[in-house]
Amino acid sequence: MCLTTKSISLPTQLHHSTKRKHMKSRNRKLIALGLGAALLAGALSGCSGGSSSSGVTTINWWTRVGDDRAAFAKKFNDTHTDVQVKVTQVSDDQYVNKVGTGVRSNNGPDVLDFDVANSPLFAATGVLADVSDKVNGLDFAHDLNPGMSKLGTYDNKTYSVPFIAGPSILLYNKTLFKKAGIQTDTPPATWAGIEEDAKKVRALGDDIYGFDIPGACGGCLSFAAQPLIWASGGTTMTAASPDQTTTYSTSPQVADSLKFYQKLWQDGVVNPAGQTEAGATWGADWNAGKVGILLAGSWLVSPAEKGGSEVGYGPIPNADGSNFSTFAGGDNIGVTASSKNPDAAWEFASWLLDKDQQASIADTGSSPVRSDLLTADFAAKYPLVALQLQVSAKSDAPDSMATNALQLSATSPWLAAFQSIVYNGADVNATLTKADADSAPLIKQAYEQAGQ
Amino acid sequence: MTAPTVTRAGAKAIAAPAPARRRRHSLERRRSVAGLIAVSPALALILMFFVAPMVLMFWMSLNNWPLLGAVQKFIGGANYAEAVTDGTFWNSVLFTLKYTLIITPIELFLGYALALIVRRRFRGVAFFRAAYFAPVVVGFASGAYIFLLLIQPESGLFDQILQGLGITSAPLPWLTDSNFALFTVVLMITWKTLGTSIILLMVGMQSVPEEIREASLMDGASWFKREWFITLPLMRSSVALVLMLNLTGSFLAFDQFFVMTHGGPNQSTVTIVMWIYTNAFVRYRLGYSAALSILLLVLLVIFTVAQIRALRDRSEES
Repeated sequence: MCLTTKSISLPTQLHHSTKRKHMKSRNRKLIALGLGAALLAGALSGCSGGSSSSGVTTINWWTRVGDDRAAFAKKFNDTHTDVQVKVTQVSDDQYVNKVGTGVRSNNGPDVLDFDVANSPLFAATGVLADVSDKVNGLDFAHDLNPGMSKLGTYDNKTYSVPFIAGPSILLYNKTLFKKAGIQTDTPPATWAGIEEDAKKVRALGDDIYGFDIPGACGGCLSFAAQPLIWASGGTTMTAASPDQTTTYSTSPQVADSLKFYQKLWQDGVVNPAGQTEAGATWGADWNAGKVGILLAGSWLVSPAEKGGSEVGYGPIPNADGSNFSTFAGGDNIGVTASSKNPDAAWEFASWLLDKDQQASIADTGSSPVRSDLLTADFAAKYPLVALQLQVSAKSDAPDSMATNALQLSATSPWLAAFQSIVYNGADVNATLTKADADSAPLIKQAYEQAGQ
Repeated sequence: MTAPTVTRAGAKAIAAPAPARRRRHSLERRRSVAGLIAVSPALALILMFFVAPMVLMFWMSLNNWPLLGAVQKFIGGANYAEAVTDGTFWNSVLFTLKYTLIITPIELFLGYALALIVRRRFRGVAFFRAAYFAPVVVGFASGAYIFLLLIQPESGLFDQILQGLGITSAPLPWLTDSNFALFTVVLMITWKTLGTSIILLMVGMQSVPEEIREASLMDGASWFKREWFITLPLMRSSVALVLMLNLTGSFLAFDQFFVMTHGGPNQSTVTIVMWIYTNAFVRYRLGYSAALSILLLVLLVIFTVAQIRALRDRSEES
């Protein structure tokens, strides 16, 4: 029997002692981190065997911190006798590292719920098991979020399935719109409309801005910039494979979208604080009722409403409003290749996709991943979730095992190009050509390391 | 591997002809065994938490060692060869040196000046000492976040004060201009760490015997001469300590830039450790980042030894 407190308290203590050492000599940081992770894996090793003498199979579920996943585990444990689930929350910035160490020592989790952006990485490096047959056996497989499903597929095999979706939408502050004399029945539905409304809102006052862009946060730009490209029919990279290339300079919709943002910035309608927004305070000014239009996730609706603003929402459009798209953000879930109880692990993972569990996600404000939930009754009860399910039908996402290095990190070529173009007015084509050139070695390195 | 064997054989050859010495020798050995037992817990910790990881890291640096996946391939010095031609790495070395050369004199001279104020007891001195030292107990990351709030365009306190006083008319480019971004971080770090330098220098000053200062006063030395020729030379070890702590601290700078600038704008503020971090946890190349860490270690050892030498030599001359 494995004590929960053991596996949770030990890493915490390690973390503190690591921190103290780190004050003295920070070149030990990497080593200490590695050791900490190794010891964590060691501490967990007693728990990973799974079966206890009573015939109950225990599976370990690793999930991201900050989301209330314990309720799912409790419900599953209350309704199942042969399989029990133990939840371990792993912080986002440690996630890949912890998984890497866990898998390497053969003591990782059985079920992994992770940032969908890491799906290609976990698939290509052999962390996840091939669940193609199991997924194909689900009668609702075709109803699953298409963008997230795409990321779960690598080399024509399915390694992970969508679990909770967090697509991006267009949010607008109706209170500010009314003050500026703009109709609020429908959201701005074209790029020209966004620009026009943003200018009117900007005219309201010194610290009121028409638009906000999280300009120093690659992960946020997946929500706030790329959907413009996808809605226009463009893409930022070819399909995930060792021959993958980025298409910044060859997909003209990338340049169009960045020029649109460049223009908004030069118009002076964009909140200047966004230029250094690295994610931690994304949406703070929006929540304070100082921003007219924002492309972001649904989680920024209720804080703004609590702040006293009336909020409207709609899909993220292409330039002429004839199409829309969204970022396939959220969490995918998969069974690890090292799991000793893959069948029990899949039993739990697929249970999470049942209608009951998926419907309960709507109550938390996040979006389920099954489009067959979208009935008239459901849409009436959860209008915001319904919009998320609708836009998810056209969801997309950067699909590469090097996404982190290519687009998400502070030192990524995509973020550098975005900033040069939008904020410094750099030449669009030259900058995007350079970004493609800078990205090629990162893709090559990533696949070479994985032995592909 | 042969050198230690030769030495041991040599030692035996000397000890052999004198039997009387043997007893002393065994006594010494017993003593040294007892000593070894006494320090063994510490030694074990050092072996486990410093030497072993260091050896492991060196081994990693010779391999293609991904964070995920099982592929580990011995590639010899390829990671080091790559580091030599890695432009971002050398830019980060130059930037880190620049940062070190800016922050170290500030810490020393400003720290010295403020230590002068608080070294004597006077009414309210405790308040000043506490005020100078208070930011030290704030973590680097927390301090950086506090500063981020203070420099927010529109709502940040710094801009409001500067504009309210009529010094500036628009928000300053705190983090959007590369030189200004460095200035902002230097400002934050000065606020955050100056307290340590002040305390160390103050203790150094107080350790200078009062009679020596009095003697120089009797000889008619001016205040400046007393500081320059009497106090400063006698507190050389404190100065050396402050310099060394600042050098290593700045060489290993990470948190403040990671939180405040993220290496931006346009990757102009990427420090060495940030680049190591990027390779390890963004690009998942543990082998390469281990090689960079070893190179950083070598750089750090070179600079620290040079610094110790410089300060020690002068103290021996005097």
